[in-house]
Amino acid sequence: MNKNFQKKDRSKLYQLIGILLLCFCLVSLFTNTTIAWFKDESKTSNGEPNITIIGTLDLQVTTNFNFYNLSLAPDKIYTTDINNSDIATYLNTTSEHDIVGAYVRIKFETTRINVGETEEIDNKDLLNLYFENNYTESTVYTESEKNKWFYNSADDYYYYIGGIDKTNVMFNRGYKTSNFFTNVEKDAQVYMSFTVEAIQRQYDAYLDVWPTAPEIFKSFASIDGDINTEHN
Amino acid sequence: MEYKNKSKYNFAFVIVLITVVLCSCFIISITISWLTRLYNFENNTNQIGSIDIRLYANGTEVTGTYTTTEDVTTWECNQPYEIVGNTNIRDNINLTMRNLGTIDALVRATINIYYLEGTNKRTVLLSSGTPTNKGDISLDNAGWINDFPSPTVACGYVFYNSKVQPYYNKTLNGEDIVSTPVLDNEISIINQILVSDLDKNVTFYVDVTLDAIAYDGNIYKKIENNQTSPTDIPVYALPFGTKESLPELWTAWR
Repeated sequence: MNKNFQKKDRSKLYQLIGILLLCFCLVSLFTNTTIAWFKDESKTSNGEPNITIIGTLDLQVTTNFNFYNLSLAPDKIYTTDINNSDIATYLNTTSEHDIVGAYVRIKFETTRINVGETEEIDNKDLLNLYFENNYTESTVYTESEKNKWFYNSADDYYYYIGGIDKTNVMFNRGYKTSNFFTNVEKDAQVYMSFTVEAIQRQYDAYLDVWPTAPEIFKSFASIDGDINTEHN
Repeated sequence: MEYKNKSKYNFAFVIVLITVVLCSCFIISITISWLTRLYNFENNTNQIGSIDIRLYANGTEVTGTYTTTEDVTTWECNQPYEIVGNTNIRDNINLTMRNLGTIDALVRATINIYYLEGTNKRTVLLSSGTPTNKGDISLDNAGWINDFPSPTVACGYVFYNSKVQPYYNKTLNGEDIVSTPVLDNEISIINQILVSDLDKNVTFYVDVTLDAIAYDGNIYKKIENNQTSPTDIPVYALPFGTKESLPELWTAWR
C-alpha cells in the first residue's frame, strides 16, 4: 500500500518536472523572437513572417561649446569658435551601428547663476540655438519638412523629421544671444547641456518610448516605418 | 479510477496555468526593451560677457571710480595725469586704456588738457600746425575722433574709432581656463603733444573720464539696420546721445 502511494507521488513529481521543462523551453524560444513576433506585420513572398534580429544602435555626436573668449556678447550669432572652427552639432551612426538608421530627439538646456547669487535660473532669454535651413515650425508633415528639426514645446525636445544614418546630419548651426543683457547678468556663469536620445526605427518603438512626440514626427514615422518594414 | 484520473489532470492543468502566467509576465517584461541610447553633453566654462575699461599710466593702473547708469559704465580718474617734460615734444605720455572685460566695447572719453596758472586751470588750445603761442598744443591722438564743442579747445568728447577688444584672451587648456594678455589691445589715449617754445618747461595735465558700452547689439547699429525705430527709444537709452549728434567720422559702432 505504502509502495503504491510512493509510486503515485513520484509519478506526479515527474509529471510536474516535465511540464515545467516544457514551459521553460517555450519561454526560451519566445525570449529570442518576441519583439519580431509581436510587431512584425510583414511577410516574405513565401508567407513566412520576417524575423528580425535586433542589432546595435550607436551614434556619434559632435558638438563644441567654445565661444570666443568663453563669453557671450549680446545680440550675436556664434557659428565658429576662437580658432574659427565650426561649432555646429553633427550626428551620424557609427560603424558599430548595424540596424536601419535611428530616430533622434534632442533637448537643449541652459541656465545661469548671476554674480553674487546662488540660484540657478533659466538662461533661454539670453541664449538659444541657431538654425539655418534645417528647422521647421510646421506642425503638419509633408515631404518638404523631411530632414528638418522641429521643436516640440510640450516636452522641450527637438525632433528630427528623418532618420539618422551614416551621413552627417547637422542639428544646430550655432548659437544666438538676445539683446536683453544688462549689468545684472554680466559675468554670470552659464551652463549648457544637450541630451540626445536615439531609438530604433523599426516596429514603432517611438510610440512606446516617446509618447509625447509631436504629430509631425508621428506622421513621418508612420510612413517611414511602413517603408522600412517593406524593405526588411 | 475515473476520479483519480480527473484529479491528476486538474493538478497538471493548474501547474501549467501557473507556469504560463509566470512566463507571460517574463515575456511582457522583455517585449518593451527597445534599442535606445542616451548621450549627454555639458558645459559650464562660459560666462555672460562684461566690459570693464581701465586707465593705465606707464603700465600701472590709474586709480579711479566707477559708476554704472543704464548699462553705461563710466570710469573717472581721481587725479589728473601729468605730462611733464622740458622739450617741445612730449611723446612719452603712455596714457592707455584696457578693456578688462570679456566682450568688445565702444568707448567714448571725455578729456580736458590744461595747464595751471596759479590754481587756475587753463584749457589748452589746439593748433593744426606747430604751436607758437603760450597755451597752444598740437595733439596727436590717432585712432580717436575729436568731438569738442569748439574745435580749437582741447576739452570735450573723443570717440575711439574701433571696437575695444578684451585685453585678456581666455581659452580652454584641457579643463583649465587660460588668460593671455593681448598687448595690441592696449589702446593709447594720447600719443603725443607738441608744445610751443614758450611752454617747454610747463607741466600739462589731462583729466579723463571713460564711458563704455557693449559693441554687439549697440543701439546705433540697430537703428541703422532698422531693427528699432528711433522714436521708440527714450533719450536716456542712447548712451552717447542721439544718432544725429554723433560725429560723422565715428564709425566704430557699425
